[in-house]
Amino acid sequence: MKQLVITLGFLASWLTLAAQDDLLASLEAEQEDEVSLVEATFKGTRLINGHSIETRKKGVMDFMISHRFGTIDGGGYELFGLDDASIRIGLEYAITDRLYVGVGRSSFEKTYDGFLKYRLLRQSSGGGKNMPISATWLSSVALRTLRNPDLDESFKDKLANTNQLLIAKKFESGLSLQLMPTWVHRNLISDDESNNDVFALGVGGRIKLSQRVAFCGEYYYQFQQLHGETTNAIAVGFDIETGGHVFQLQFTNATSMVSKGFITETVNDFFDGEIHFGFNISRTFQLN
Amino acid sequence: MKNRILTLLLVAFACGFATAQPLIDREGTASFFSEAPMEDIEAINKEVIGAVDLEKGTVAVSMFIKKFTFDRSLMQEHFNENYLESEKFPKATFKGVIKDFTTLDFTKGGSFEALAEGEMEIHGVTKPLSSVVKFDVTPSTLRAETVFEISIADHDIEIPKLVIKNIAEVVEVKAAFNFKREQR
Repeated sequence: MKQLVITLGFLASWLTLAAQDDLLASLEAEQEDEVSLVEATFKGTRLINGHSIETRKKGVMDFMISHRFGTIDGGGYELFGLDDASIRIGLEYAITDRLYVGVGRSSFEKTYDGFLKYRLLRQSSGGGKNMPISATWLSSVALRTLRNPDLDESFKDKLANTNQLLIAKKFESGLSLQLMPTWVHRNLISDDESNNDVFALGVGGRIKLSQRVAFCGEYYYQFQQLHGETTNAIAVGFDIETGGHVFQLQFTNATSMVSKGFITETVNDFFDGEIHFGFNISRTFQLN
Repeated sequence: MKNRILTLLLVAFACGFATAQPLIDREGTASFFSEAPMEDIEAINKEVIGAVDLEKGTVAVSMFIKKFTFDRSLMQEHFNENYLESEKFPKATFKGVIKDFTTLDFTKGGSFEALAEGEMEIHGVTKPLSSVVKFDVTPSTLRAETVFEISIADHDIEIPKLVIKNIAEVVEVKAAFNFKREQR
């Protein structure tokens, strides 16, 4: 009986092949069950200020320079903020296709930062194993080294860390959205600050305008505030891609370029013109 | 008894069809190379599926665009995302016939060349293509190799002015298949 089943099985496969006059159709029928990972949900590893779910592929190093000029409400005298600039220089490396690490130094408050990103889930289709979303974990730590003569701070006191779960979905090739539940923790806060822990929820997305240009937006809502003056970080910008570079041009009310900074320390009012023009330039190198 | 007759019948039936079974290689390769002033662009796909029907003289090839691997991963991303749009057009395919097939002898060992004529679909655009295929025949294997050129513009693959100098307009494509033949 078993033999019959096997014979029948073989026969069935022969018959289907023989029955199909179109050789190509029979080949394509074989290929339908492939799992396909969704690539390039966002163009860069940053949405605008914050991280996107993207990491680089294994062995890729990314050199990143970010600038935020002064606020544009300075008017013509300050050339709309261009007289004033803060910079972050970063170096990042993909250890595996899922694990990504980086370090950076910002001129704003002389801050060093380091982060680790791990891709937990990758959106995919086909092969009967559809994964509707991508998810990436981000842990970052920032060390403020700006001297404060009034305070005797230990190394630990100067640290703040941020943990984020980044969840994104590429709905179609032109539209991707991301949600970012966030927890920022400070080891030490000053007398006029009220929360060591700030929880926030970020939303963001991109719309592709052409193959190389995308419009991006990002907003972080804070559930607690570090102090009464803080505002929620808003950013809008354009991603422009040219070969090995990604240029991101943005308008944002945030001054800091590290997670704990722009999420919880932003004090500018976006709608009152207190907006920084800025850009991120990322250049990738394939190391191995 | 009934079962035995059935099996016998089925086997006899199957034998009749067996000769019509095309040869299939699921690990064929396709690679392309384009020399450009900035950097050479090179990629290989090792999971190309190809078939040749030695009864009818027809050939077919199908491959996933995403299976092309590049040395530089960002180039690979751009290839899929910006140029070939592999989410919209996941496959490249070819179907065609071997010209003057009846004059060719695939049973005898040796090498010979033949022209394959058909249609190539890349980026959702189908264009006629004919290419010389070199066959190496042994009693147990059949190797097929071909080299041809694809014009990027023919397949509506857009290249922005900013990078047009970096990318050649005609790309040389190589493909190779090793078919295992049934021993009779």
